[in-house]
Amino acid sequence: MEKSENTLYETEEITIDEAEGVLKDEQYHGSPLFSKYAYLLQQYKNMFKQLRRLIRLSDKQQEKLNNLNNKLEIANNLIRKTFGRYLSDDVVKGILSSEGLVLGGETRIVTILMSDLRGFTAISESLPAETVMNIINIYLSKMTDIIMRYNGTIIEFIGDSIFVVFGAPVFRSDDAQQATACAIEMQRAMGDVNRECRERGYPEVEQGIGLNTGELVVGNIGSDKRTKYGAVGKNVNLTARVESYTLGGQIFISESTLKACGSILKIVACQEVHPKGIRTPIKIYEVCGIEGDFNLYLPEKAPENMTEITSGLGVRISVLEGKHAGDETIEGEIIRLSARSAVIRSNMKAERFGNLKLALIGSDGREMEDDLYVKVTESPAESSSTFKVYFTSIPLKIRDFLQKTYLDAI
Amino acid sequence: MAAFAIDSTKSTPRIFFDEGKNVLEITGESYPENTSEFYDPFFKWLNKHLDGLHDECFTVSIELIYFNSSSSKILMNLFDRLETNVEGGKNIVVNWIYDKENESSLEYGEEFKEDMTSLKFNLVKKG
Repeated sequence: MEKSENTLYETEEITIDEAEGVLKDEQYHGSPLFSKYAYLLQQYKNMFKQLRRLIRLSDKQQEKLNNLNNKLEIANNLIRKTFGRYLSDDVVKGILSSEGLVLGGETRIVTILMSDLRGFTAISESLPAETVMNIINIYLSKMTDIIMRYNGTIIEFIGDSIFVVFGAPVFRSDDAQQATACAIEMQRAMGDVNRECRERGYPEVEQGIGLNTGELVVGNIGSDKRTKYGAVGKNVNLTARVESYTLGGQIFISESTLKACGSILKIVACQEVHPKGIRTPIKIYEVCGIEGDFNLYLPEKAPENMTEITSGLGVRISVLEGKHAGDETIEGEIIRLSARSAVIRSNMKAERFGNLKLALIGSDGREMEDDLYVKVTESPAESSSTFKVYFTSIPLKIRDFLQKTYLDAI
Repeated sequence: MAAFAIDSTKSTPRIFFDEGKNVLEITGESYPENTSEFYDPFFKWLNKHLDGLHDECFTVSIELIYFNSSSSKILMNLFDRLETNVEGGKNIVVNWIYDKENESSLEYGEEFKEDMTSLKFNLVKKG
């Protein structure tokens, strides 16, 4: 019997050796069972030979499968890594699953997050294209890391805005809370974004975030040739409206998100607004923190030091509709000023949350070259002709001019 | 000599006996749900065919891309049976056909060949 190199078949080999020893013993040769014994031993030897070969073949098959599996895993990781920059991990996982990519959608309850760099469109008009792109990339890179950490699915980047859903393709019971905590983290990270902007000589930016919870149709939209994971439904528009009311640094949520989050949210203000395209007024809530396991809070706002501008600073005001200024302008003057806001006296009926473009009038009576973009934060009270605005976008030249005016007034 | 033919499926090979050439061909993949059940009619036919052989050469040509462990056992049973018949004076040749791109197929053929002392077992490169 051929010996094995190891002890894998030691028992079988000893058995065969002993059985052959018996066959060689002449005292058994006359036995009536001798020939049957010899036959059985031969069968055992045949079977043992087959067993060893089968195990060898099986090991080879397994090795081949393992190698293939490893190759497949390397390929899958490469695909995940490559597509992970375009799609969320969950979406990539879905595509790589046995079902593959199937066009079609489903109605899901999700929490939608929309962020936007406030006044960035106006800032970007005065900056070189490369600088604009670099600022957006600094911002998006920081925000993407946070969104992925909170399991958000980035549906798309729309310029300097981010459209994210929580709850699709994978539902989690605390999606709304995750989305709110994510929004707070995003606002907290703006310090890092602006530090990098300052280091590279870029202007600082501010972010507004809106959250809303409701039904959306989510799924793979497109054609056989080009497909994307998308989300559609009226709640997308509503979220965009909620976001549009924010100033830099603020997070507004709709009532449905407030309910979905429960009592762990810290709310600083509640306002009733009537967004365009929405039938009835809605309530929006300003979030400053989330308790519970998250325990996250927005940084405290620095106190606002307003000073009187006794001589008045003339402005020509145009109302912004979307991103476009109307043709009509109304005269007014800034009578109080801080680093980020101003009180304007004018005959115009400014609407709260309205966006305005201000052309500053210099001491020579001429309009300054760059415009200042503001949002009305407090509309005029009855029998009053003053309203408060927050600067959403301040060009560098205007910033210097306002700073000088502020210091002179002090 | 009786004809024998089974068409291939996704998990079972085509088994075809060419009466004119006295060649048995087994081609495709072999991982049947029930290996014994699938190969049982084949072995019944084979036994009869081997019994009826005289001096003529019987060639068994095998080209399997993939086979599972049960099928390996079936192949070993087949080769053992053929070897016993060769030892009994029959003229039988096995051609193990492998693709040059498929290294494992050659390795498996070499494994089966190793045990054969009387049966002529050829490893034939395809193409």
